[in-house]
Amino acid sequence: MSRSDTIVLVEDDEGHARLFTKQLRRHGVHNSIRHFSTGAQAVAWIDVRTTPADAPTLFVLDINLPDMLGTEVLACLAVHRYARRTPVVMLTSSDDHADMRRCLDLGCRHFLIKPLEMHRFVEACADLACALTLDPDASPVAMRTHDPAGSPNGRKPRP
Amino acid sequence: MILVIALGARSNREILQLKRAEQNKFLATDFLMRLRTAESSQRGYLVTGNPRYLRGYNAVADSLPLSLSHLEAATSAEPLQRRRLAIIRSQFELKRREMSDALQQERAGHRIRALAMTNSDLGFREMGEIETEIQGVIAFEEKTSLGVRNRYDSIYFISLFVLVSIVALGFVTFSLVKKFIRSSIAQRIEISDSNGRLMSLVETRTAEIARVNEEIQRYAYIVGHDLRGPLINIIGFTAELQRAETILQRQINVLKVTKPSLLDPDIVDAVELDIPEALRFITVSTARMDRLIAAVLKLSREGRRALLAEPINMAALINDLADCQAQQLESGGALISIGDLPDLVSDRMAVELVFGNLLENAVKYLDPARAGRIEISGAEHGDRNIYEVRDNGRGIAAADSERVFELFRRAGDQEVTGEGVGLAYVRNAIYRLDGRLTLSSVVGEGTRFCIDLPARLDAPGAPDVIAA
Repeated sequence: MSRSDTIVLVEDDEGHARLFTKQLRRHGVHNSIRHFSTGAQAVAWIDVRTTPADAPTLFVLDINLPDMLGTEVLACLAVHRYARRTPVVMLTSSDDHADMRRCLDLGCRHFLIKPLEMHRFVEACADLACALTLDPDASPVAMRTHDPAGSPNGRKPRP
Repeated sequence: MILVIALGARSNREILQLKRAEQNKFLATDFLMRLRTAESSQRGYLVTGNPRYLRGYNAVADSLPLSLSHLEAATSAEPLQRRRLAIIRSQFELKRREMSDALQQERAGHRIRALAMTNSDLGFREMGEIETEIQGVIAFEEKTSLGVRNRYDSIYFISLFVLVSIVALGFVTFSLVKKFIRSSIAQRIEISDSNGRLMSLVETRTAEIARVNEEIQRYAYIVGHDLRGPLINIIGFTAELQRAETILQRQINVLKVTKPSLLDPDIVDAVELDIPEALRFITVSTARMDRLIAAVLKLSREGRRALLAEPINMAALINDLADCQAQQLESGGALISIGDLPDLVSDRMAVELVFGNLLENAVKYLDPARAGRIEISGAEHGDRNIYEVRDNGRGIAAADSERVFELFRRAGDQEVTGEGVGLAYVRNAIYRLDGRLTLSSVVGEGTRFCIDLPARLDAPGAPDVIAA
C-alpha cells in the first residue's frame, strides 16, 4: 500500500502553520504540505479521497480549532475508509491532560506541545513510519529519521 | 377520684341513716295505731258487750309491749328520742293498767264502774300525751330524714358537679391536647418547610458557587491556553529573527575582512547591538510569560482535578519533601527538624503541593545572616489536624500578609527569583481540601504557617489501582 507524500496540516493560526512549514523545509523535509485553517475544510477534503494513493502520508492536527475540536477531526479520520490508516500527530499549545486523554481514546498517541521542536516532530514521524521526503544533505535531523521496519517508503530522495 | 370515693362512702352512710329514720317513723306510727286499736276495741266491748271486740283487744294488747320495745331499741341512739320514749313508756304503762283494770271490773260484773273508769279524764290524758310524744318522735325522724335528703341532694349535686367538671376538664384537656398536637404538627410542617426552603437555598447557592468556580477555572484555562497561541508565534518568529540575525552577522563578519568600506557603521551597530539586545529582551519576556501562563494553567488544572482521599503517612511525606531540599539546606548550613506529625486521609497530590511549596519557600527565604532553622510539627484537634511550618527566615511584613497569597505577587526583596505562584497554589489547594491557612510573621525573625486540615477528607477514596 502506498500513499501520496502529502502532509495535511490542520492549523487555524497562520503563524503556527508558517513556522511549521518553514522549519520542516529547513530540516530537509520536502513533502508537499496541504494546509487547512478549519476542521471542516480538512474533513471535506478528506471525504473526497477515493483511493489509497489519494490518502495523505501524515495528518498534523491542532487540538484547538475555531470550528471544531481537533479530536473531532480525529474522530472523522478514524472512520474514513482510507484516511484511517494515515498516522496522526496532534499539536497542542498546552499540556492539558484531558485533551491528551481524548486523543488516546481516539487511538492517537502522538501529541506535541508547541512551540514545536522539529527534531521531536521528525522522531514522531519516524515512530509512525510515515513517508517523509528528506533531503539527504539537509540536516542532522535526517539521521534520526530511520525507518525501524526498513520499509521502502522510508527515504525517498527528492527528485 | 379520691373525692368521688369519699362522696360515695358518705352517701352510703347517709342512705343507711335515711333508711333507719323511715323505719323508726314506721315503728312509731305502728305502735300508735296498735294502741288506738286496743283502746277503741276495749271501749267497744265495754259499751256493746260483744266478745268480738274483746278478742280484737286481746290480740292487739299483747303485741303492744313488744312494739314499744322495738321502737325504744331503734331510737335509743338519740338522747332526745330516748327522753320522749321514757314518757311514752310511763304513760303507756298507766294506760294499759287502766284498760285492763276496766276490763277486770266488767268481768267481775261491775259494768257501770268499768264504763265510768273509761270515761274518766285520766285515760284521755294519757292517750293525748302518748300521741304528742309519738308525733314528736315522728317529727324528729322526719327532720333527720329531711336533713339526710337535703345532704343527699347536695352530695348528688356535688357528685354531678364533679362529674360535669371531670367531663368538662376532659373536654378542655382533649381540646388542649388536640390544639397542642395540631399546633405542634403545624410547627413541624412549618419547620420542615423552612428547612426545605433553607436546604434548597443552600443547594442553589452551592450550585451557583460551583458554577462560578467552574467558570473561573474554565476561564483561567481558556485565557492560559489562548494566550499561549500568540505567544508561540512570538517565540517562534523571534527564533526566526535570531536565525536571520545570525546570517546577517556572518555576512558582516565576512565583509569586515573583505570590504570594510562597504559597511555602514549604523548597520553594524544595528546588527551587532540593537537587534541582539531587542531579541534578548523579547526572549526573556516571552520565556517569563510562558512560565506565567503555565502557572495559570497549572492552577486551573489543579482546581479542576478530582480529589481522591487516601491515607497519608505524613512523617514519610514530609521527610521525602525535606530530602528534595537537602542540597539547598546543606549549602546554606540550615537545619530542618521534623516533630510529631499526625497522619491524614486526604488528597496526596494536593498535600504534597502544600507542604512542598511551604518547605521550598522556607528554605528559599532564609536569612543568610544567620543559621537557618526550619521546624515542621503537627497535632490532632478533634477531627482536624493542625500542622505548623516555622522558619527563622526573613519574614513577611504585615502589610504583605495577604498579598503573598495572590498569584504573581511577591513580597520583600526581589533578589530571590520566583514567579509568585507558590503560595497561591498552597492556598488554593488548602481551600480545596476544606482547610484553613493562617500566617503569622515578624520581619527579620521568621514566619509561621498554620495549616488546619480535616483529618479525613470528604472525597471519594482513591482506588487501589491508582495507588499502586
